[in-house]
Amino acid sequence: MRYQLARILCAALPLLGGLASAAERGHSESIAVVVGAESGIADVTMDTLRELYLRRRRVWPDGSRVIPVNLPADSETRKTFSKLVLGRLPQDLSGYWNRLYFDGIQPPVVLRTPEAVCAYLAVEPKAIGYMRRDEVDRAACRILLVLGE
Amino acid sequence: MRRVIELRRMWSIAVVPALLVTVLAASALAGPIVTRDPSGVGIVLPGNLWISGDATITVEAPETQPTTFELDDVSLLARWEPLSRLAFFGELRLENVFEVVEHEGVITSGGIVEIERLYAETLLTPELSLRIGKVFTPFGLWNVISRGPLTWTVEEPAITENVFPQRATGLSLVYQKTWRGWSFDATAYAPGQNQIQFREAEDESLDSGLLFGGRVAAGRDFGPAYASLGLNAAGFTRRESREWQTATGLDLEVYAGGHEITGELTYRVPAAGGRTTHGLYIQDAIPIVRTLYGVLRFEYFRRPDGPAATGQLVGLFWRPVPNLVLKTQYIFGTRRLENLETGFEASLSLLF
Repeated sequence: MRYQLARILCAALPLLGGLASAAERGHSESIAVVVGAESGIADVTMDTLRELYLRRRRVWPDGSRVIPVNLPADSETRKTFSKLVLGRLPQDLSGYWNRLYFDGIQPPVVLRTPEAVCAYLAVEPKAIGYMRRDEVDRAACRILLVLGE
Repeated sequence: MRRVIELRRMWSIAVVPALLVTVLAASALAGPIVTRDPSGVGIVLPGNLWISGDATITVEAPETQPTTFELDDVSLLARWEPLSRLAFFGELRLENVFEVVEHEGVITSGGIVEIERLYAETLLTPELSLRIGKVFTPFGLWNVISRGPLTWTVEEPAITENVFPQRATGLSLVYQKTWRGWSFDATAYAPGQNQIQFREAEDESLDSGLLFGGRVAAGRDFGPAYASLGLNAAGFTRRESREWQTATGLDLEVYAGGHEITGELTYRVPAAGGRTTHGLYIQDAIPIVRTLYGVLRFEYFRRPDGPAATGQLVGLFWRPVPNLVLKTQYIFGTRRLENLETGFEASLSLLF
C-alpha cells in the first residue's frame, strides 16, 4: 500500500500544480473511461463499469484486485459519470454506501484532478478511471470506452 | 474460579474500547494522501486492513415507560483482505454498558461483549462469493444493516425484530450480477443460527437450531429513478422443540428525486398450524438540505397472541460531518408493543 501511494505522489506531484485549464484545452461533453497505457485490461462494458464503481465486483477476470478511481464528488465530470453509469448523483448514493459500510466495503478512492488520475493509472495496471475525453493524456492512458457521445 | 471468570469478563469488556483508542491514534497519525468520499469512514492500514468503530448514546422517552439514557452499543468492525479473492470480517459489539433510568438512577451491568459477525469470504468467481461463518441473516433489507448507526432511524421496524432468526451461521453464497442494466442479487444460507457467541442466548425462541433460506432481488434504473424488488424465504427451527417455522417476505427499494423509499412485508407461519405473525413497513428518507433528512415510516404488526398494532414515525437524520450521526424520532401508535413503543427517541453516534 505505501509503495503504491509513493508511486502516486512521484507521478502526480509535478502535475498537480500548474494545470492547463479546461478553457485552454476546450470543452468536451464526452467522458472517456481509461486505464494505463501498459494495462492488460482490454475492454469494459457499461454493466461491468457499474459493478466496479458500486464495488459489487472487486476483482478482474484474472482474479487481480480492481482499483476504481473517482474524481471529487463536486466535479461536474464525476456527476455526469455517476448519472450515466450508476443512474444517480454522488450524493444520492449515500444510503447505498452507508449499507456497504457494514461489510467493510468502501467507496472508490478519489484523486483530485484528471492529471493525477492519469499519472496513477500509468503506474497501476489494475486501476480504472474516467475523465473528459479532451483531458486524456494519451501517453499515459488508453481509452476503453467513451460515454455520452 | 470466580476470580478467573471476573478477570476474563474485565478483559472482554476492555478489549473493544482499547481497540477503538488504538484505531483513533492510528487514524490521527495516518493523514490522507489520496482521499475518500465524505461518506467513507474508518481507516485502511497497510496490508488491506480496514478498521472502524462506532459508539451510540440513546435517549428514550416512551409514553408509558420511564425515560432512559443509555450507552448501549460500542462496536468494532474490521475487514482484512490478504488476497484479492479472500477476506476476513469481524464485528464485536459491547452492549449494555450503562443506563440511567428515570426514578431508578444509574444501572451498570458491566457490559456484555457479543460477536455480531465473524466470517471468511472467498470469491469463487467475480460474481459469486462464499462466506463461511456468522452473518446477519440476509432476509429483507433492514436485517443486514441491523441496529447500526447508519440506519435512518433509532429503532428498527417491528416486523424486522424477532420474527425470523437475525443471524445465520454456516455457509452463505452471494451472487451479484448486472446484465443489460438489470442488477441481480441472490443469496442462499444454511444451516445454523446464532452459533458463534461468547455466551448462551438467554432467549432461545429464535436464536438456536437450524436455518435455511434465500433471497433473490432484481433492480434497474427507470429514467431518473432506481427500483429494486426482493423476495425472501426462510425455514427455521428451535433447537429444543424441533418445531419448524417458515417466513416469507417481499422487500422494495426506490430511489427517486433524492428520496430513499424502502419497505418490507413479512409473514411467519408455524408448520404445526396456528396463528401467524405478519407485518409490514414503508419508509421514506426525504432530503431536506445537504446531509439533513426527514424520515417518515408507517408500520403494521400483528403477533399471534393479540390484535394488530400500527405505528407512524416522524423523524430526522443528520450527518453534519462523516463521523457524527444524529437521529431523532417520534412514534405514534394504536397499541403499545414491546417492539413498537410509542414516544420519543433520539440517538447520537460517533464513527471512527
